[in-house]
Amino acid sequence: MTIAAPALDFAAPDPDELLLWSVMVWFERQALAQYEAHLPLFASADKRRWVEELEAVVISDDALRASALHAPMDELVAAAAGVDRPSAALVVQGLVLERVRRVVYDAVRVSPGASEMTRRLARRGSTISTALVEKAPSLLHDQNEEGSMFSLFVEESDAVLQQLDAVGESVDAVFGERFGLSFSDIVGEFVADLVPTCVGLGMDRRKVMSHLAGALMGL
Amino acid sequence: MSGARTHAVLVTGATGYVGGVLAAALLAQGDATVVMPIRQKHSPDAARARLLAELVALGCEDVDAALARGVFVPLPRTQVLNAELVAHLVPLLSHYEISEVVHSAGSLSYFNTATLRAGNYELTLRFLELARILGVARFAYVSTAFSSGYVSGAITERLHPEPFGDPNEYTRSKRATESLVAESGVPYLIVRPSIVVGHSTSGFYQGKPYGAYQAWTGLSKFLCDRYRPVLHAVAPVVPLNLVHQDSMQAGFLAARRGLPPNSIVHLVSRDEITPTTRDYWHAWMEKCGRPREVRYCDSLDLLDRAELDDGERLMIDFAEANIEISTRRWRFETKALDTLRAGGLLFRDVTVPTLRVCLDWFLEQSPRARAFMQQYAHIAASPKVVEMGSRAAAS
Repeated sequence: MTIAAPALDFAAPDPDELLLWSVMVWFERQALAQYEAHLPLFASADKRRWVEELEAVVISDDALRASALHAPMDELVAAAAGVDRPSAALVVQGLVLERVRRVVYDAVRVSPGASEMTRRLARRGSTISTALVEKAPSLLHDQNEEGSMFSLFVEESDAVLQQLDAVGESVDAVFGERFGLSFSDIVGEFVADLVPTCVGLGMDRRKVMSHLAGALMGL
Repeated sequence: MSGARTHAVLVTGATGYVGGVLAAALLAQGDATVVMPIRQKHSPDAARARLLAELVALGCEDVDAALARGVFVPLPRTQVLNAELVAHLVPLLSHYEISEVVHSAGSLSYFNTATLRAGNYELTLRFLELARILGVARFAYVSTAFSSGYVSGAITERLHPEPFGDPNEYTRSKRATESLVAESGVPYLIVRPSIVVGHSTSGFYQGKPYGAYQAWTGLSKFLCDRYRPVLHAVAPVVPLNLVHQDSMQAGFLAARRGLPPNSIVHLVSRDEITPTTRDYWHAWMEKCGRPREVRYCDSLDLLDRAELDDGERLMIDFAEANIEISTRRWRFETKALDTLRAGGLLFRDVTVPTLRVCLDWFLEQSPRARAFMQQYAHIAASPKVVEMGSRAAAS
């Protein structure tokens, strides 16, 4: 089943919104490429259409390349580029980055600073990310021994989480005032959502917290 | 081989915080070459720049000469680090007469047992093998004062038996590695610093946000987004053993000179002087957080999480592993350090004022905290203190 896409009329996005979607399309493109390569089940028709829709909004990467977000985003995408197998894709994208995208979409879709069109786009992004976020744990569970789950999670997520920290700082500076996006809120939502999932996969809550704390606080 | 070989000390982990600090101390005080194996991902220029900063912080009079005695050699690729370490390093070190290995490299992960095994135990095993081949006179191993795990009573300057519990896998790993060193047959010195903080007079610190800096980093990231009139902390009045990096350097050098082979030394501040966990948190409250009221409790189980907002809850969750350590009473034996002090070692204990110097330095580096402090500078620095729960009351 696919999710109906709204008719979009994004003729003149303002610079802040254009930058926001430039970031997200960069992020989404990598996710789709990794899903196509390692996790075809996640390269759904909805995900493909979603990337196409964003690419129609964001004609070029110029806005991103000119912003303070470019360097940390570049490093985040590079940190996630090491994905080379389904389990890694499930952790890096399915467990971590898809969840981060959902948190961002959820914040933007109710942001008073966002235009109606951006809020609609964010609602759609959230729906698509949610579908994948919900699929990831059971697949991870099926593909991996419970005893090895924490090691897998730590090994695969560490570099990405550390780069996320760097992006978060820039997000505050660039989008904080306009969209009310703050690093602490994003991380708070992300952690609150991720930890129960990890515990459900058999990981020890205290160990997960310690790992997240280290990675998200620059260790 | 032609000509005399150069007298040298081998220091591992020099691109890390403690290893860098100790390498700088060795460069500043002696005339031996300091050979530093570094991973291929680290650039020698960046490593040299960090050493330069440490030398300046240390007050080294001839920084150029000191740096000139530092030599970086590449380690094998990470994937084959342990397997190829010895065979890789032996030819690279053939120009040097290595008298000592100072082994500071290791994993600081709290719970990743695979990384801890490879980074602490197995890597040390390889460097011990190398030390034997090189015929060094001493293998100095940098451990931690918390390697004892949880024990009742004093923590001795001997190898530790298995405790009744460990705060994390890291302490277990360091304890096992200490035994490995002691049983290797190579003369050893085991140094056990407590929680290392910046320089005692400048506060200078260029490590990652370990230990005391982790909570400060979390506070600046998660609790400087908006003003909170009430803040909570798990902060009992128990000594929080901290050690200044310059004291660690001085203690390490003195231990090399003054302790007999096969010694273990705790590099810790005096219990009666070191700040308490309450002092640590209150310094932040007064300097940066500036709540109108601060609610303290003695342990995590006495904290009413329902009172916390999202930022505070995240902060407490993230700090949980360190809170567990900082709310315990750790009684470190200091016979070896006392002997060194009696022999003239100037070892500056961490006190509340010197901890505040370190906090000031940290805040100066944090734009987020600086902006927050500027915005709320008008609020009085002395919050009302409310005791939310103590072990004594609970029992």
